[in-house]
Amino acid sequence: MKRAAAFAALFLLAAPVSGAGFFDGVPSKGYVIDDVSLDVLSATGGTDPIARLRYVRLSLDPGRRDIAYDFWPQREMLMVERATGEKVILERLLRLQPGADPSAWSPRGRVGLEGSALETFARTAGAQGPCGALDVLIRAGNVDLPVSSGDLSVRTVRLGVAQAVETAVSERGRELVASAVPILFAATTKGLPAPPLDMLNLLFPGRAFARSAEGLTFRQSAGAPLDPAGGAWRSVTSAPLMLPGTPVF
Amino acid sequence: MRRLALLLAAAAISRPAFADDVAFSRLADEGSISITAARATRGSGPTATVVIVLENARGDRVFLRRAPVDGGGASYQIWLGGPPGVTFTRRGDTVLVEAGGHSLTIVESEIARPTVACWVATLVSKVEPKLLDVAAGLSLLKEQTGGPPMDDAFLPVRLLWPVAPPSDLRPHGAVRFQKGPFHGEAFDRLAAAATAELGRR
Repeated sequence: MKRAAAFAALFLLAAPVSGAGFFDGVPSKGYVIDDVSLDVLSATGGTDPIARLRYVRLSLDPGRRDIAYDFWPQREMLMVERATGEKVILERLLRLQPGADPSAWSPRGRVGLEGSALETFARTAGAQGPCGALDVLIRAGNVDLPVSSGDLSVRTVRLGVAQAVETAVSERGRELVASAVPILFAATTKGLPAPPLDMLNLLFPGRAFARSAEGLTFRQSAGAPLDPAGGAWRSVTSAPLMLPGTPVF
Repeated sequence: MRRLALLLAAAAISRPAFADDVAFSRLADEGSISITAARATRGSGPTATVVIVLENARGDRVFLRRAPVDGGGASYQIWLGGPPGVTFTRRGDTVLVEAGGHSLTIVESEIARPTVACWVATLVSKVEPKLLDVAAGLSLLKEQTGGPPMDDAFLPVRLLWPVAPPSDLRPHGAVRFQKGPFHGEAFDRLAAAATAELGRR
């Protein structure tokens, strides 16, 4: 653990690789494309849900009208709230417009927990320096780890990423993510998409998450949907303004 | 002269009952590049402690120190001003790189991968920014000679070479490798510096 902390400190010190926050520059208003809320029931757990889920896909308003609606950026939010009240969100950003500098990092995926987060960024062009050719950035807490997408299976890289994640996210937080995975995979049969789960391969290299969940059933959520702008969710993500329908102009 | 006497005295104090071997070699081009190396060895085989001091024509020194570590493996240090500089501890196929209180575990054979090179370069340049240039320069010179390959004690240089930017060193004419013995005050000083580091823990 001491070694992991030292490792993380290295990149904390070394890396004003990207000073921007994950949601900086991401449109904060979106129109709802998909919205599914489910209660998760366990065969052994009675009628009370063991977890609640909400999946929202938004078409983000880029704030300009020279981009056709079909090409607007999108944001996927996959929220899980356990019966204990613990929260985790998996998010994905798609079709973000490239900025003026193609070597700048652009946000891609995020796992949010109360008090910590793991984030991924990408860029389409290299930069100067010994790390300039690397095209993926993993931000674990306040640590930046640049990585080449061609090196994700390299042992050193897997070990380094795992150490950084271990340092940034508590053991309980990691358990929370791990226990959400089989639920989310099971929920794909109810219309929830699997792609947001892909980022776990990058953030937890080598970890074999259990995918099958025995005795889980789902029902349409009867209560108010999980609200990313409400209560403790505000410490888990940056909630967008979610509007129904499509823009008039 | 007084400094030399002090260095020799220090070296003498740190000497064990058996004699330490000190060998010299030199790498020089037909211009102004000249690097003299003093290699002090205590013991033999995998448990040997080896210190190499490299000195250029301006008197700048690079130290390399290889020593066995408890539980097997060996540690390799490289520094310019003073120790500890950067330490590489090899156990099996992994190497723990430590510098300035930070560390990173790498698989040795993966050093040339872009990500691994970036991480190592970042760590080393934070602590000893000139080390990467030194490693690149040494490797460039070594490549141009017909001398023996860099052995185990040069592990830090061999690991930093693929990580370092290309050297801007421009040798003039042929670069020659020469083995000692050499004699003179300058060599005595170099030998004393190498021997003094043998006993350090």
